[in-house]
Amino acid sequence: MRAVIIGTDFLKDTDGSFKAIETNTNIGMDVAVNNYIDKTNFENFILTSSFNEIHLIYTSANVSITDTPRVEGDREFLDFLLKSICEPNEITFVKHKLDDNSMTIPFIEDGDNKLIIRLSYDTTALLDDTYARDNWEFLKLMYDNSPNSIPKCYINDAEFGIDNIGETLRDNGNHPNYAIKKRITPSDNKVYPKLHKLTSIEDLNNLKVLLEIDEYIQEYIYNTNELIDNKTFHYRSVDLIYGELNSLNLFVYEKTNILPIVDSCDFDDDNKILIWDRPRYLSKVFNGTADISVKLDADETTKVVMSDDTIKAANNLNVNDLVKSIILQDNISFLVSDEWSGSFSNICENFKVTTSAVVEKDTFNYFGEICNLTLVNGSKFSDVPHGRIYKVIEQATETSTETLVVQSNYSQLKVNDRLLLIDIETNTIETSLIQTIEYSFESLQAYRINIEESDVFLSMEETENKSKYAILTHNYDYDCRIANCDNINYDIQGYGCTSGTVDFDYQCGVADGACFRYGGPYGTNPPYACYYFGTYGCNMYGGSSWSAYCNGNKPSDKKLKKNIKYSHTLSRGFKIYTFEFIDEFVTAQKDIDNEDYSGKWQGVLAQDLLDTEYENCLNLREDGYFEVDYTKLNLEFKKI
Amino acid sequence: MATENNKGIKYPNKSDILQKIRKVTDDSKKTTIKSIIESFLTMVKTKHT
Repeated sequence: MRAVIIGTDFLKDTDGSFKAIETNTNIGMDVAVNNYIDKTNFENFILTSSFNEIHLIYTSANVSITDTPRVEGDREFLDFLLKSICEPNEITFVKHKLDDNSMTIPFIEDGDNKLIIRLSYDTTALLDDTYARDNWEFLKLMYDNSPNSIPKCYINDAEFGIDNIGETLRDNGNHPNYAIKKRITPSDNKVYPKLHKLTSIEDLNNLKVLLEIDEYIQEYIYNTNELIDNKTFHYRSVDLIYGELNSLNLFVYEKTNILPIVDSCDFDDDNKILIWDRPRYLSKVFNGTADISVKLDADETTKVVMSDDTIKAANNLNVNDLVKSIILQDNISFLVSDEWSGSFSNICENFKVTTSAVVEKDTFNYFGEICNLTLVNGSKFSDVPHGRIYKVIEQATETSTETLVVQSNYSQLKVNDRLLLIDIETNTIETSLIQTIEYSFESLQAYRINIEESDVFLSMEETENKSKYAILTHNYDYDCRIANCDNINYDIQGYGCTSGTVDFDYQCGVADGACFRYGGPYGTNPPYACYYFGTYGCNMYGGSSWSAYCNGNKPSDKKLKKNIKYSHTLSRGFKIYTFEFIDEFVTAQKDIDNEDYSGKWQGVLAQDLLDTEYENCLNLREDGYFEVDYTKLNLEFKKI
Repeated sequence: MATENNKGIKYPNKSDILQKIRKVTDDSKKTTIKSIIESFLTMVKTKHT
């Protein structure tokens, strides 16, 4: 028997009624399942159905361990099925883990003795492709059966049209009362839903006129009758849908929005709420962990100490600027900084003040957590969670206690941690305990800054009317030994990113002054170590055959590929896929050119580029198949 | 008129800026939600068979 797990979201209105918002497949089982699921009920279902095999089709997105404690659970659903259901009842458990972006599922032969549970997405499945993907299909079906089962809507469409908002606007006081949503999910959570506070029918009519063709208006249910930790929340019902659309409820949970409620929110001139208030009203304001886990060094409030002891705001910092820097100990390489620790006394005696240059600076629009520190000495510092600073710890050995200096992210700091500071007036090291840590959720510009040769810069305290202490901040770990090298030598220290004379331009289009960084997709051992992350998107492959993985012309004909899976669409408009080459082609290339095209690759399909502005990147091979010039396309063709 | 009163509000605990998940144990809520889902599935079945 085939089954799919769906998650259906509800809001409880102020009159006590439940309104269905949407239903979802491909959900994350991100609660501590063992604490939530009714094991007896589930086990009875399995045993009375006489299943002796349970198959689970899933991706890591459905049951992954995240490094951000925004969710409770991890892989517990797998453990639940295996340890609580299958093993005690001698049922065979078969896992089918798919690629994260899989749109279909492999064929698994069905049988009366099997329960085939699908968590991942299947574009050929009715619930997925119609009612989970298309909100209008879901809402219209619900509305036609019972208009009050969903929030009031305005959908301007011949087939799915709904218009029951009427002439009386919803009154949410100082809070948003209507949302503009997208028809198709997933939408950009950073933008949708757009939350508005409408005060008149004219406002509503104006909003209707401005709707894009795939947008709709829905009343925003704001209910503070029930709160968790002063936050509003929604309900999610997780159900196993099996056989002929029968359902078995697994559990229902409440999930809060991100920030606590406030008396009123902030609006722009169009009465749309401002970005920093969105987390009070929504449970999703990011598009995945990538949005919140990007590693950054500094934000726009960071004040960097320059080599001449002047202060420069991070937003004004430019490449080639000289900053004041610190070498904590002779012969200590910051390349292994994550593992590094040093003796506090040795550092105090031997540290050196030096000058380093800003060699790279990348700017990001950051929206998320900011850690705000107040130290016992009165100094204040704040930064993004991944900002890395130094603290002093006591570490017990068998015979004594050592005082060490170690790195720490802002997000790992605790009250009473002792931070390493520099008094920039006297250039001496001092320490101070953290008195308080406060957390804010902010929208600002943040930066990834690369400093060479020492990787440490000084961030001045943000204390009002006080500029005495700076905190040592380690820059983001760009992997290059020397970032701006334009040459290469494979012999130096085993991997080459330092000096020498090799001109790659004719191979890969790498510009002078490009950065060659240690590491990359072909491993960290010589001669594979050099990997170019620059604007040309070209891999560099070291050693005698280093040109083998350069991009240039690569076979990209659809007919040469199998297991093609859509990955994503670039802003430039073309689609990226993962794929394998067909066996005959792999064998032929190995025999003829000694090139290895086995395994999984990522790139474009040549046929997609026909009749587009990128058609000039296509070449026709002698064997009649298309190849794509990835260098000209400015894209990386890579093995994954 | 645009306002910025809430920008940068600081919270004393990290949990203040994290979402919380809580199991629903209230049977009447679960029953209500279950009936809506069953109704949805019935309508899907009706429409597509």
